[in-house]
Amino acid sequence: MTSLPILHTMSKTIKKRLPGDFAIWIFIYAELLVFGVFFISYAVTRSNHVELFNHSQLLLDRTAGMINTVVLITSSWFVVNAVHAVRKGLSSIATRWLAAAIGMGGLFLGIKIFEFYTKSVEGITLSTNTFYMFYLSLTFFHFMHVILGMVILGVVWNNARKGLYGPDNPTGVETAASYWHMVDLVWIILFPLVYLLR
Amino acid sequence: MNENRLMALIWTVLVALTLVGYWIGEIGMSGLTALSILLSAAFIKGQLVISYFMEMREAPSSWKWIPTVWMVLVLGAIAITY
Repeated sequence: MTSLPILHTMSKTIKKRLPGDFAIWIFIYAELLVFGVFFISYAVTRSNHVELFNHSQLLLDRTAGMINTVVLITSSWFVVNAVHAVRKGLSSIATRWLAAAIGMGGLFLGIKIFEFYTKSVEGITLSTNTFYMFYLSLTFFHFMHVILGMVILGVVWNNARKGLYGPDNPTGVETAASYWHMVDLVWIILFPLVYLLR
Repeated sequence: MNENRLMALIWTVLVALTLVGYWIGEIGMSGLTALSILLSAAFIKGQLVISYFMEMREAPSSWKWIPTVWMVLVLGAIAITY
């Protein structure tokens, strides 16, 4: 019994840390706060316009939304593999996982652009109604975060290609990974909230 | 379980829960049942990403709860205003 607290403290000093640069976590928590306020505003506004929201939501492309969810989740998984590869010193494998993750990010943007294009052809704009104001601004705001995430992954990919990361120095890859997972996490709430919940 | 297999399993669960949500949308389910399933699925998915992908299960305890609390607050607000 007496050895338990000691073991506990030991495992704490060895294991407990935030992956990546500490500053990215301040940024991630700030981003979560902003998206959280956005989501709650959507929910509150919806409660006052249930009919309008339910009707407009039916015209969204749920299949595109579902495919994009799978694409982002897969991309996040690729980034996890990249982090694990770097920690094992497998730099060239990590580089390939990062490239694959960036490719999935590009696919997400392509599908989203297709959705935006379809809606614009149908004559839908920010001023069509309150639902579309939220749909377009929320998904566009998230879209910009996907681009930023891809830029960060791109920088890290380029560094990884030059062999700048390794088991002693995985911080850069972890930092990019943490940000990318945040972008994924936000979409995991956005998709059911905007596309499915009625 | 080896780390790569564990992450592949988590990816599979994430995709499966996404398909469950999509199916609910496709059959046009609404009301409290749909709300409970969609929010539970979102919570489990988010928790898997937070714990395993963002590695919060290994983070200092003062920081690890923040994303989970964020999810509970957001999903809770969605449920209350529904």
